[in-house]
Amino acid sequence: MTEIFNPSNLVLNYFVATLLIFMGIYGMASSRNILKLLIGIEVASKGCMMAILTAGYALQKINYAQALIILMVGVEVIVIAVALSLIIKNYIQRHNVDAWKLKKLKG
Amino acid sequence: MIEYIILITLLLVSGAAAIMFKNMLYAAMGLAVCSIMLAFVMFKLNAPWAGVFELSVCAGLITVLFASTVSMVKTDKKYFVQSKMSKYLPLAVIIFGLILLSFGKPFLTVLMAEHKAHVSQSVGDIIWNVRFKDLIAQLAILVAGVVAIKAFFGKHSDEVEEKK
Repeated sequence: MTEIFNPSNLVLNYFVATLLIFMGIYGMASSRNILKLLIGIEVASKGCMMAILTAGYALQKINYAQALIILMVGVEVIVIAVALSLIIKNYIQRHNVDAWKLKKLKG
Repeated sequence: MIEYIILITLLLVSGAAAIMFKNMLYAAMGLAVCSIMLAFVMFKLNAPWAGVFELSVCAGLITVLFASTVSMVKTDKKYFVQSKMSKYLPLAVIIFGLILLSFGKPFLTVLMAEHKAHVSQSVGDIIWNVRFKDLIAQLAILVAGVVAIKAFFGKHSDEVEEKK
């Protein structure tokens, strides 16, 4: 147990990354608010970034990990921007941000 | 060493706060703090370029996007449905963490086994030479995103005809 909480041992980082991914997935599963779903995606992606970073550090390929994270951040921003614009458009038409009411969209 | 543990703790607490806050503006702030802490962790692990991107884009731009969306969307409680399950997040995280500590250690240490010296290229070399196809794909996603937003908010031909 004490081995895990030693920062020089990177197990702590993997542990935190796994917890962040779990929190993100829990947040997505437990909320009907579409904005909250997006925040859950963001928190989970922070966990993924932490895992990539730690793997790069452990394998002494930190620059490779940095390149992957930079590309990931770019894609993340685009995904969030498009999703938020969809939310605003949905709100203008239906006046709510409830994910369950999106089923009215079915053809 | 203690600073690092404080950083990691703040990262987890702010991530949990972002999910648990009912007020969406506070949740966006929690996410921003989470990004800032992750950027500090990146600086600590010798990844300054990734840290700068995380700090400027995730902690800055995404927070602004979230805050502006929250201000556009009505903050009436009726419209912000919050499940009761969100309250139990700390309990779920503790249970999951204990399970992970008990059974997950072999999976958490698997990457440490392949620790070997490697002559690393610079970040620029990797992005422009090794991962060039990723860069092209990112550009394609960027164009697709711009076109999608234009399609959502641009004036359609039927709306223009109605006005006439």
